[in-house]
Amino acid sequence: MQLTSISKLTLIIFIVFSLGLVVLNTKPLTVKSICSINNKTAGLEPYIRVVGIITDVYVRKNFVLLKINDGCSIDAVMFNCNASCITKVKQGKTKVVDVVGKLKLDKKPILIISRLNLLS
Amino acid sequence: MLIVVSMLLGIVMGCITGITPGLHINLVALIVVAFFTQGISLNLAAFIVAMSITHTFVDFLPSIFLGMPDEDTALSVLPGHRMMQKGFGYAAFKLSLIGSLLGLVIAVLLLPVYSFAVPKLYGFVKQYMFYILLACLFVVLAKEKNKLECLAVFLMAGFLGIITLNLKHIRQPLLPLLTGLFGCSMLVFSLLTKAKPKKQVLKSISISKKEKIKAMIAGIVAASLVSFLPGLGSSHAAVIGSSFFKLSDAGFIMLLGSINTIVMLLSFLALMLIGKPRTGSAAMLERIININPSTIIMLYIIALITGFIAFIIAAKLGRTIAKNIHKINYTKINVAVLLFVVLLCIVVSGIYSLIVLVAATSLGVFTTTRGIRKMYLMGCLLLPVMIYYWPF
Repeated sequence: MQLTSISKLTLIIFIVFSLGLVVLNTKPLTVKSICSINNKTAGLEPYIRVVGIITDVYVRKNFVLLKINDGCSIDAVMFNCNASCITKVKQGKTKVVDVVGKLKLDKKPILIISRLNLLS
Repeated sequence: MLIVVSMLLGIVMGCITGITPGLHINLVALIVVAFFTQGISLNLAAFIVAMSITHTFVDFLPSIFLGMPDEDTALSVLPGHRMMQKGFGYAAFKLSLIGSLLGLVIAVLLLPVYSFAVPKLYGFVKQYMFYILLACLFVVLAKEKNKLECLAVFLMAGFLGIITLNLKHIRQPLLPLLTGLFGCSMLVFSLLTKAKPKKQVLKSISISKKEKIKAMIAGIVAASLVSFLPGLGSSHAAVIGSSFFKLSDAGFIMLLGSINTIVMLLSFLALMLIGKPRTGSAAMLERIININPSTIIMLYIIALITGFIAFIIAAKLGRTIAKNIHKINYTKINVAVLLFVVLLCIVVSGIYSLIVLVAATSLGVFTTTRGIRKMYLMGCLLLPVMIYYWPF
């Protein structure tokens, strides 16, 4: 194969796969993919979307504790959740949640989520 | 006595991590520190320092003979491999060892200078790091005939680096990125052009005293600049260092060898002078011992002794590999190494890392076919760092 052909071919491959990476960057993380990353919430930026099933809900005075599950389990907390928000949480089976940050409680990372959107 | 044993164990482990692509000293240090408790912290520190310094001597072996670099030896692949193809692989490796040893000795001798100058200059250099990197890029570009093409490669690599480092779907993004750009691309190119190494000459090649001095000055200055600043490492120092003087392949490999070892050594000093760890090994040391002038002197003595022992062991290892590499079918080695890299990326970084690997490899091959220096592929790390230090 001539060098000119190789250089053209490799340039095309580079462009195609780079675009693939750009598309991948916009793909929402799933709970499973987060679990497979060494530090579960390392590098998570705000507004990364996390898809998973909420399996447990613990209602407290000023916040709600959740377990989000999709093959593995991640803890999450939501502050300032009013009565209608709690109803949504209890009703929902599959949720898309927006992560706004993370904190550590007893050395475990916990996602901070701001709102829940029920998937129909 | 236990310190001596720890140091020797560290040297052995450093040889293993240096030879094995994908096995990083940070991982080993983390495991060792996690397993051992307080009470033997000084011995652990001796182990970590010895392992780290030895690693910097030995890690040019897979880079030169297999085309499989790590982050710190990435730029050595092309000149090292080129020399190996001509039968001078052992000579290339010996030059990197000489660079490492000389760099180690000079850095130890300059300890009082660093101790005085770094606290005073740290803030100033950090403030102007963007301009320093930009200036180095322009100086390097000015020497090229095809400036626009080189700049385009730099920007494409930078774009790839920015996307990859921001990707949340893969672990250890540097593995597929740097292996693809510098390692796999070399192997793929060798396969496509049916390159075969000649029988290796087991002799060192001499380079002029002037070339040695240029390589060492460039190495010391560049490594000193990056060792104390966040986000910068050996590969950035190599780009900065090569902008000072025009060096032959041999001089460049010597430069890389010295930078690698000096950066590692100075990262321990950075703990004391600015209170920040700049390498994984330094981060481990910070956890296990109290860093003060007397511990630094002890660590430096260990590093110096390790350097001399590692030089001898590494030279023997290199000789053995160089003696036998021509007996093995080079095409089969290349294919085997490529398959190993693919497997390593999947296991360490996840399945999506293969997209990064293919993109990086294709860019690396493109760069080689166009005759552009692989240095511009360092844009993958340099551009993100320049954005980090962006002053506006």
